[in-house]
Amino acid sequence: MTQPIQPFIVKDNESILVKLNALEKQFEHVHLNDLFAQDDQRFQKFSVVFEQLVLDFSKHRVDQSVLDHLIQFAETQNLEQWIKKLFSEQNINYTEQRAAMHWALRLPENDPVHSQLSAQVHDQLQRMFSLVEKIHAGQCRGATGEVIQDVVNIGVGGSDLGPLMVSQALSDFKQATVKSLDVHFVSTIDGSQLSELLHKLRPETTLFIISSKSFGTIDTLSNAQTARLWLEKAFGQHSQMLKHHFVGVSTKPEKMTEWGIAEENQFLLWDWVGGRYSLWSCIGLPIALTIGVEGFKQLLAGAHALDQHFQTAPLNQNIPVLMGLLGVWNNNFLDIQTHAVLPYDGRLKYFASYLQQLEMESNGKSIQRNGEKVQLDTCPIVWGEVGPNAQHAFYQLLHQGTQAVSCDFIAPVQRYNSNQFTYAENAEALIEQHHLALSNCLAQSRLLAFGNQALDQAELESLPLYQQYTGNQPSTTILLQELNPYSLGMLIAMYEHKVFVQSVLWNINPFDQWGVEKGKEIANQLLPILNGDVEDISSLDTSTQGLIQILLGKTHG
Amino acid sequence: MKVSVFGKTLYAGVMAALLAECGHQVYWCDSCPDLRHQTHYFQDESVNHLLEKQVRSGFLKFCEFIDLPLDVDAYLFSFSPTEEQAGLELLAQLQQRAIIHPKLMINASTLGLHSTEKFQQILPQDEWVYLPDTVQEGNALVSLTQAKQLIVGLTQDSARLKIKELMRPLFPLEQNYLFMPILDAEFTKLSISGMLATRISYINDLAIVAEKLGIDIEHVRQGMGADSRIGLSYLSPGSGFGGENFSHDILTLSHTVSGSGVKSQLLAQVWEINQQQKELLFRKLWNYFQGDLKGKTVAIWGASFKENTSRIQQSPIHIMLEALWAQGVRVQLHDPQALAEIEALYGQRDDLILCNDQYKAVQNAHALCLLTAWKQYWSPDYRKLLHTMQHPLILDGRNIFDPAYVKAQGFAYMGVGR
Repeated sequence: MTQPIQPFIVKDNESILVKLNALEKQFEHVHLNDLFAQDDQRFQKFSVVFEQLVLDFSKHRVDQSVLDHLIQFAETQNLEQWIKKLFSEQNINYTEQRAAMHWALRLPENDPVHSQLSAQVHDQLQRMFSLVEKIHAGQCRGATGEVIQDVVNIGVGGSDLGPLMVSQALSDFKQATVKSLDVHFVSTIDGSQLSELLHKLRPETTLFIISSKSFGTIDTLSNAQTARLWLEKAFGQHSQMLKHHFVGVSTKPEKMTEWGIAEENQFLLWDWVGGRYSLWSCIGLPIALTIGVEGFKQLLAGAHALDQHFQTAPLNQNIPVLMGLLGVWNNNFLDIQTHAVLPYDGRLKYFASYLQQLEMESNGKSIQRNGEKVQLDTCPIVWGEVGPNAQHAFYQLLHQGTQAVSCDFIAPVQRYNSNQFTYAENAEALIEQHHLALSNCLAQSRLLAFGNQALDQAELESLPLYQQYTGNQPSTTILLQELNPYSLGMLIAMYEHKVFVQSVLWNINPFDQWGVEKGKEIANQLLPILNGDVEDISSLDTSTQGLIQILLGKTHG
Repeated sequence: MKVSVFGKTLYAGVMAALLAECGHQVYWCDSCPDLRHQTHYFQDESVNHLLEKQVRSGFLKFCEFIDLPLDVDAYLFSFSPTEEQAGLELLAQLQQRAIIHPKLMINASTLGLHSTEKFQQILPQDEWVYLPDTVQEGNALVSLTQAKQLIVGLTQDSARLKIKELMRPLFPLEQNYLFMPILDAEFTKLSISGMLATRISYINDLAIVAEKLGIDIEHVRQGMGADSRIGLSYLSPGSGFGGENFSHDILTLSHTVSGSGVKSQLLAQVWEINQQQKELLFRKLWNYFQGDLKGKTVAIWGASFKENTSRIQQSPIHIMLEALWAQGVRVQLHDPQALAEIEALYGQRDDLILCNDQYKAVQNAHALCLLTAWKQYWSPDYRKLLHTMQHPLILDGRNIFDPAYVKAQGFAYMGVGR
C-alpha cells in the first residue's frame, strides 16, 4: 500500500471556508451589472497580461474581497509548496508512485538546474527532429524506395487528442516540404477512421506512427495490426517493410521491438509523463511534421515561458492560479456545475475535446490525498465548441436556459496577418471575417454577463419576457496576440497548470486515471463471448445477457 | 545588314556564325567580355569552326557595348532564363543610346510567354520580332539551316520585310516562313518543348510498366519508332531529361496551363514523371539492397544533363546525390567535363569524391550508376570493373549497354524498362 503524500502541515482551512461561504451568501444574488456599476475600474483590476496573453476575468462574479479570500484558501492548501513539488522529481502521482514532470519536456537545452533531465529529453527530441527533417526533405522512403508522403498517427487519448488539436490549431503554420506531405490521425477502436483512410492511401508512400505510452492499448494495437496487414498485402511479409513503414513512440522499447519496430525507429518517453500531458514529447511527432522543427521548438518555448510564470508570479497575478481559483469559486460556491470553452477561431476546433480529457480525466476524482472522500465537488463538466458555430447550437441554453454555466472565450487579436501561403490571396476578405468573429465573441460575453442591460433600453419595455435575457453568466476572455506555436504552447500550459491548481485546492491526485482502467479489463472478459469462444453467460447481469443475445444474432432486437 | 547579337546561348552562336557567313556584318556584343578570348565557344565543333572562320574573314566581330556602331540595323537577343535580369538592364542601356528608331529587334530568348512584350516596353519605338530558339544541341547548324519552316512571331508588316531580308540567304522562299502573332509564336515554342517532354515521359512511363511485365522496352521503342507517324526521336527511356531551357519551358508551360484556370494536368504529370525518373536508379539501388544503403559506396558515371556538355542544370545527378547522401552513401563521381561545375555547386564534402578517371570512380564501389551517355562510357573494360568494384552491380540509366553481354561478364545488370 502506497503512502499518500501529505508532507505539509495542513492549516485549518475550516475558517477560510466559513468566510468563503459567507461571501457566497452575499454574492448569490449580486448581479454582474451591479458589480460593474460599483466599480468602473473592473477591467484594470481584474485582468492580467503576460507576454502575448491577456486574461480578462472582470466578467466574473467576484470582487477584491472574494479574490483575497480565494487566495487565502490557496495558501491554506499550501499551493505554493505544491507548485514547488510539481517542479521537482518527487513522486506526486502517489497512486502510481511516479513524478509528473511534463514541464521537463519543455526545458531548454542544457538547463543548468535540471541538466540530466534536459539532456535526456533533448536526446529524444533531436532524434525526432532528424526524422522530421528527413521526411520534410522528401528523403524518408518506403519499402520500394518511394518517398513517404502520408503519415498516419495511430494513437488514442493523449496520443491522439493533443497532437490532433495542436496540428489543427497551427495548420496555418504548415511547414513547406519538398514533396507534399499529409498527416492523418486514427484513433477509434472500431477501425472506422482507418478503413476510410486506407483506401485513399498508397502503401508505398505511407508511414505509420504507433503512438502508445504503454504500447499495450488495445485500441491502438488493433489499428496498428490492420495497418500492418494492409502493408503486408502490398509487400509481403518481410522485416524491411516494418522498418520502412512504422515508427513507434512509447515508454516501452522492449514491447516496440517485440511488435517489430526497428530500433532506430523507436522514440522514447518516460513514466513521469502522463498521457494527457505528453504532446510535448515525441508523442508530438505529428505536430512537428506539421509545423516543422522550429515551430515545435517555439511551442515548447511558449509552454516553458508559462512554466516560469506559474512558478514565479505572485498568486494574485498568476494566470493559472487565478483561473483555478475562479473555477473553484464558480463550482463550489456559486454552484455553477458546467464550464464551456468557446474559441472564436475555427482552428481551435479540437480544443474543447482536448480540454475535456485534460480537465475531466485529471480532476474527475472523489478521493482526497489523505484517503478520505472529498469535501468539495471536484471537476465540473467541461464542454464546448468553436464559438460562432455553437451560437447556432447551444447558446440558446446559455442565454435563456435554467442552467448556470461559466465560459472561457478564447480569441486571437491578429489573424491572417503573416502573408501565409494558405490564405495570402484572400487575406483582405478573411481579415474582415475575423473581425466578424471577434465582434461576435465580445457581443456574446456581454449579453451573457449583462443580460437585458446589454440591449437597447428603449426597446426593452416593449419586449415580451421570452425575448429577454437574465444575464449574470460569468466568463473569462483570453486574448492571444496571435495564434502561433509559441502562444498556443502558453495557452495549453496555462490550462495544464490551472488543472493542477484545482487539484491542490480539492486535495486530489490529478495524475492518475483509475476510472478508465477497469472498463478495459471487463471488455477483455466479454470479447471471447462475442467471438464465440465462450458460451456461458449466466454469470452476467440480465441486461448484458439480453444485449449479447441480440449481438450474437440469437434473438432479434 | 549590320547585326548585333546579344547573349551567349548556343542559338546566339549559331545565328552569329550563320548570319556572318551570309555576308551580314555581325557584332557579337556580350556583357561577358571573356567570350572573345575563348577559342572554344561551344561543345559543338562545327559551330566553333564556323565562328572562327567568320572572325578570320572579318564578318564577325566581338565588341564591347560602348563600341557598338550606332547604325546597326538589327538587334538579336538570346538570353537564357538566368540571364533575364541582365538582359533587361542591357535593353535599358540600349534605350539610352542615340539610335535612330525604328530598328529591327529580335527576341530569341527562352523566357516564357509575354517576354517579347516585356522587352518591347523598354524599346517601344522599334519593330519587334520573336524567333523561337529551336536549335538542337549536338546538331546545331543543321537543325537550323535544314528546318523546313522558320516560325516568326510579329505584328508589324515593316518588321516582316526586314526579317525576311535578314534571313533571305538561309530561307529564300516565301513558304519558308510561318508568320504568326508574337504571343502565338511564344506559345508554339513552349508547346514544342512540351510535346518532346511528353514523348520522353510517355516512354519512361511505359518503361516502368514494361519492367513489371517482363518486357524489354527497347523492343517496344524500336517498334514504335518504325511507325512513320511516330519516329524514334525523343523516345528513349532513361533517367529523365534535364537542361536549363528545356526544363524551364516545361515548367513555364505547365504553370501557364494551370494559371489559365483550365483543368489540365498532362504537363504537370509529364514533369512529375520526369522528376521520378531522375531518381529511378536510386530506387533500383534501394530495392536491390533492401533499403540498407548506409555506409555503402556508389560510383556514378556522368553528371551533365546530356552528353557533350558540361552543363548540369536540372540534371538527374542532383536528385541522385541528395537521395544517396540522405541514406549515408558515399558517392564517387566521374564526368569528362562537368566535375568543375559539380565542385562549384557542392564544394568539398566527405561523401562526394570527384574522380578524373572513370575507373578510379568505381574502386570499391557497391554499384555503378550510369547517368549520362558520354561515348567513352559505352564500352567499358568489364574485367577491370569486376576487379575493382566491391560488388558487381551496374545500373544503366540510359540503356547504353547490352544486358545479355554485361550479365555474361558476371555483373548484375539493371536498365530502364528492361
